[in-house]
Amino acid sequence: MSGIARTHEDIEAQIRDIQNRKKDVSEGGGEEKQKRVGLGESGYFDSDIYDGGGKFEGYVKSIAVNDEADDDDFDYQASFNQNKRSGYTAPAALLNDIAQSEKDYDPFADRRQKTVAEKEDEYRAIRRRMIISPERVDPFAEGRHCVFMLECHLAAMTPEQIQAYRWEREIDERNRPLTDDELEAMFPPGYKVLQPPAGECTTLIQTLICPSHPPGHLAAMTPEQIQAYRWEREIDERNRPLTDDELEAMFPPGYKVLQPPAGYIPIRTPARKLTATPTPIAGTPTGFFIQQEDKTAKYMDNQPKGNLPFLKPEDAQYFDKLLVDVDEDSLSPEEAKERKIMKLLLKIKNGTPPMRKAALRQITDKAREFGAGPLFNQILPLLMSPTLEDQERHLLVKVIDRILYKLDDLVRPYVHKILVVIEPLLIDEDYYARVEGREIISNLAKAAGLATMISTMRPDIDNIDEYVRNTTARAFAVVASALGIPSLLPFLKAVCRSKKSWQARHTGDSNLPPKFRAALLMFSDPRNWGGVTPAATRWDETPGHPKPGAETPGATPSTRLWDATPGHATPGAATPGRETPSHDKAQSSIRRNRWDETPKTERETPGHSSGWAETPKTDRAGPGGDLIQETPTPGGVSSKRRSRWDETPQATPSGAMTPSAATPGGMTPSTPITPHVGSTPLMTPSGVTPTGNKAMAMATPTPGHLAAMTPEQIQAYRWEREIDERNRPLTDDELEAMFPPGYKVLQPPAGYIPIRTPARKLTATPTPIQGFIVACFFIGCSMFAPTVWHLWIYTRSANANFYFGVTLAFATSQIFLLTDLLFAYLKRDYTLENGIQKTIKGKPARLVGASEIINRVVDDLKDENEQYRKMVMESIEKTMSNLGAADIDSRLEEQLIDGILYAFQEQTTEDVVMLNGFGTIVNQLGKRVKPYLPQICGTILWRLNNKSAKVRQQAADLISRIAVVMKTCQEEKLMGHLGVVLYEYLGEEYPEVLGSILGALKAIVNVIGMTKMTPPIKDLLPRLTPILKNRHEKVQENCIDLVGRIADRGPEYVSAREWMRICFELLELLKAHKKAIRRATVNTFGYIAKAIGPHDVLATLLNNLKVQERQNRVCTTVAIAIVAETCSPFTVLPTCSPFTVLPALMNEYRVPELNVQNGVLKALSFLFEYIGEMGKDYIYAVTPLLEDALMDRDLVHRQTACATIKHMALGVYGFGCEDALTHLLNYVWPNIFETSPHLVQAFMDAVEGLRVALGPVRILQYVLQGLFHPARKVRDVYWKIYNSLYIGGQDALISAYPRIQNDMKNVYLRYELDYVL
Amino acid sequence: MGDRYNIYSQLEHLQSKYVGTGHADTTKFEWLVNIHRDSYASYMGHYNMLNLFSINENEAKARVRFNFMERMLQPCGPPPEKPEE
Repeated sequence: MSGIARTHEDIEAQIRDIQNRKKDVSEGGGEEKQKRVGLGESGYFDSDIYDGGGKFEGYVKSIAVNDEADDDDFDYQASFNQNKRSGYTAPAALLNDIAQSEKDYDPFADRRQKTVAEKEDEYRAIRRRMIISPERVDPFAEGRHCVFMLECHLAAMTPEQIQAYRWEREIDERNRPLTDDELEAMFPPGYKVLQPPAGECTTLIQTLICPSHPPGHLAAMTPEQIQAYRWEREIDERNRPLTDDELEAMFPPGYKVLQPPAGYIPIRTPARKLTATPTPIAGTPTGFFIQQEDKTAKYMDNQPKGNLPFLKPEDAQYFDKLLVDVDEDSLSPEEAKERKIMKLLLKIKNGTPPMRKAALRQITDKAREFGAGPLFNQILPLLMSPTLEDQERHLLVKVIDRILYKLDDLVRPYVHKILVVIEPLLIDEDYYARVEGREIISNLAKAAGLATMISTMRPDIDNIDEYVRNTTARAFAVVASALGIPSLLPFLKAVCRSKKSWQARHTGDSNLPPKFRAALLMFSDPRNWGGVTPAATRWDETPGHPKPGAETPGATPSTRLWDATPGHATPGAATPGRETPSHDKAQSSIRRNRWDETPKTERETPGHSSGWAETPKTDRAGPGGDLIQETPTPGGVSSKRRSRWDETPQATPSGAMTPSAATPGGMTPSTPITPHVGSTPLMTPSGVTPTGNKAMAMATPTPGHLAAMTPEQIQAYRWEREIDERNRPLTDDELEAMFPPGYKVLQPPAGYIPIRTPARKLTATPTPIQGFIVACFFIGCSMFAPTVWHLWIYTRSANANFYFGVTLAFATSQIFLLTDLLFAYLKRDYTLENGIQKTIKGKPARLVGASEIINRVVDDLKDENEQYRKMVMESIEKTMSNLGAADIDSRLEEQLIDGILYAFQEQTTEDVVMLNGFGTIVNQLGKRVKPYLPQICGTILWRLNNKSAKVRQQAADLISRIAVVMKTCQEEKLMGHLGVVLYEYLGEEYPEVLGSILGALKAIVNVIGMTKMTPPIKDLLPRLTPILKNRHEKVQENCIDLVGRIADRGPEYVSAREWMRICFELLELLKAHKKAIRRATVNTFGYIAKAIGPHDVLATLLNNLKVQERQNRVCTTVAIAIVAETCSPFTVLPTCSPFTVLPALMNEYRVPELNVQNGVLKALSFLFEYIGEMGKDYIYAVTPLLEDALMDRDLVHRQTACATIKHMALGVYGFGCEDALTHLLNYVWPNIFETSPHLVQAFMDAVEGLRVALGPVRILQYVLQGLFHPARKVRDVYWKIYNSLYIGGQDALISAYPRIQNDMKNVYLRYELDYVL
Repeated sequence: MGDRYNIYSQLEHLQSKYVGTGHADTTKFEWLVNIHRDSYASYMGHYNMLNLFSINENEAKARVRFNFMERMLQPCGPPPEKPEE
């Protein structure tokens, strides 16, 4: 290959060269052959050079039998040389590697679905350390509410007050210390009151607390927890209220106890009497026991007997009793019940879906019979199992859900147990687990009632474990939303005010936001406001700040009722918008906590309450407003801001407790995990305030004059405040906390006065220094920047992203610029010529642009930076494809072609950019490219011969792009040359390249036509036949396209025999995965059939019906139908019409094979669909066949026959074939009661088709017999047909409805129809 | 059993939008009322039918049409009493 050909002669010489070389390789090469050494032959060595001794001299020629040194090698070969099988296998090293790995190695270990326990992080894993508390006494069993009702003699109170009062009282009552009598009643006999140890001041209460912390509970605590617990206990004890006895002992005689004033109710909430979760009051004597293996039970088998599902080994501990084979009759009722439940649970957990369904139904139905105890005692431990998987958990949770409905109030003693297990679901990372948990808890709340829920969860609120408090708070929120917010408020108030335990307050606070999410959801709906209008509640005027002017006349006293903290009342809470009494109430209880002495509560409180204060703002923004989007996650905006303060080491003892600090571990216990839509507004930026001693300073500056402002003003004010706050300088404390020790504060220089007005900082008049900077900037902008800019673009163009961006920007801006210029030009012309007239006349608009731009960049196509060249290429491409090449002069044209050729040849990484650019430019230049075509083709040829496959592929692709232009330039000869060369390269081994070559050939054939094609079609097609076998999709697709094109346009160039060969090859292509290939194949069948007559093709296809593969059969039937269709008289060839196809098809139906017969029926169906009204000539011929098919046992036969009849009937409508169709309808009709959906559908379709052809009346006569049949199944189907009939032919049926005689009461005859004129 | 008919639920929904369609529990009375109303609608819609009836009854066409319209209200008389459950 001497170089790139420039002229036609060169190219021709080159082609000859290529052809000769090919010939040499394929035929001759004889003389070369003798010089070479065959693969299997032994060669000879130059004994002079190799010293005569052979190259193996010095090597040990035989391998010793017991040579240790070779062990490694030996080993390695021994394992695989045993089998002498030749062929490829995986590298021996890999195989050995697997063989040597240990026996139990599970290669899919990391793909296995993880159990719930494995997915948990440390925090969530705490749940498994929780102890399922024993059942408790149901305190509400005997309707003890009455007691409180009696106390409600307060006629003067509003209903709300009474309600609140009642609740408070009730809660107090529930939490009152147990009396001795009660205790005695509760404990099983044998318990006795411990005497306090000598020297210690112990009370009865204390002794009661002791057993509530059994050793088991302590054991479950971490040392830190124990320590904390101990401390607290001690402090509590010291500060416990004095008893009467103690007081008496203290006071000198003579003192007497005063009576409390009337109406005084002592605070009797001993917040911490019930701190511990497991209170073993009734039921098992100890809260914890180590599960003992039942020694008496013998493991007969590791799988349960009977019709039970597989038992996983890790489940054995729960279902071990099922493994023992016992006589069920000998069991006690309790044991039998337990066993029954166990079986059902096992079925639910591990069984097949039907088994599971049945078991679930059974366990639900019998829930009350089994009783809550036995059920929950088995379900709950299962749920705590560490090996539980998601699916199993879901099922078990479902069980609980179902039985909750059934058990209803029986569930009360087990509420806590269930909560312990279910609460962790609320913080699960899985969304569905959380939803399930929520559902269960809300059902539980509904089943057990609010009272039970509160009394059960109450102790957990001030649990020392943060985890318990967190989950309890969440559960509370769910309970609140399930039972209604107002009912829970009094309780919440009590909790938030709890004097004794900061934990309780913390929980109370943290359960507010989620709860109020629910509350807000409710209150955002005006229907839920009840009697309180927003206007009435807008200005929450607190007594502490009387402002008569702001008092809304409509405000009812009840709106202010709940503001229980006049001293700390802040009008700031009174944000305009919807405030509700409950909101106020909660607000007020929260407000207190701002002054809480416990830093944690104090810190959290403003966050919550100001969160609410902001909510009206979002209300105004509209439901689901934009603000929601701005604050997507609670940890998002707010945490970022907070972090300025939060990340100080000692700011928070545990970061997890602050509501919005996002802990790196992912989840923050106190924040809601999923802010659902209604909830996010709560977390608007101002919802979070800094922690520490700043809380107070920040959270409450709410000037009284707020009330006089408009809402907009308030809004603006609030924002300003907030911005100020965020940007306020750090205090010394904060700074100290931030810096590591060792930093010290520098003294400011003497005379320094800090600027105190922030506004001045930026807008101050420029000093001389600033003036200098401005000058520098100006100079920089005007002088240096362009240079630097250019350099920057130049150097950075190697970066792909940058490159893309700049090109895009360049092209876009050019287009804008040009559009602008053009518009300006037009406008100027227009105004000069027409003044302000409205029509444009005169000169057509001329594009001014492309040459301008291209002129500037064209030289850069020869730049040495390849990336830059690419950029330029793309820019030119974009410009030209948008603006055309009309104004490019000959010089520029030359430059351009030269440039793109250079860029194309010099590319080192083949890129589609160059290809596209080349193609677009050449296509845009059109005819003007003619002088350059030889050169371009030379380049293409040169590159087609390149070593790199990519280069060859690109060259071939380029041919397919410029083929049209070559035709425009009338360079047929050149194209012929290209065709020859491409033909020579059909032996290409890379499928991608081969595909491109075929594509290029196709493009040439398309353009040049069959007759002028070189190489001639008769040579080309035989070469293509073997390529059809190629498995590569690109090759297949291009090849079948090419073959199909030839079959379509020039079938006469190839012998029928060759076409038949191709037919056989095409059958294989019907298996292709790509639909385009299958479609092209099927169409090609049609072309071929048209070319050589349908018989042979049909025979081939019918034969193919016997294959097993469904897709293949379907395609074959389609192909048959297409063959039949293309052979219809509408086509040019008269020799070929359905009668040439039908006999063969019908003959094929005689083959006693389902697939074949179905294929034939399917083909008939397509056939009748395609031939339409021509079917009238063939309907009588196929009727016997269809009769047979409709009587076949096989459903598919009948279904396909129905489809055929549908198409047939629709086709011959109006051609007088009613007799045949009625006959067929009689065969179709018995299928009316079939149940297979496809057949039902096909039947309905056939009836519809026949309705069209035969008229609705005929069908109505068939239908009438079943409309009022005694059997519902019959009526169902008949009415369905009637309905479709009715919709199809409502009017036509009028005359055909039956004549129904009148009865005693009603007139059914249609007398009008009896009129005779 | 349930999902076997799901495919047709869409069709059935469509059908249910037509008042005149029925189902397995349609009574004779309901069916006939629909038939009668459809008939009247059809009479009124076909010009020639209306001509025929007006000649037969020796009434103005408008009157005949009006009568039909009136009769559509309770074409078959009062509905039968339902057996109370």
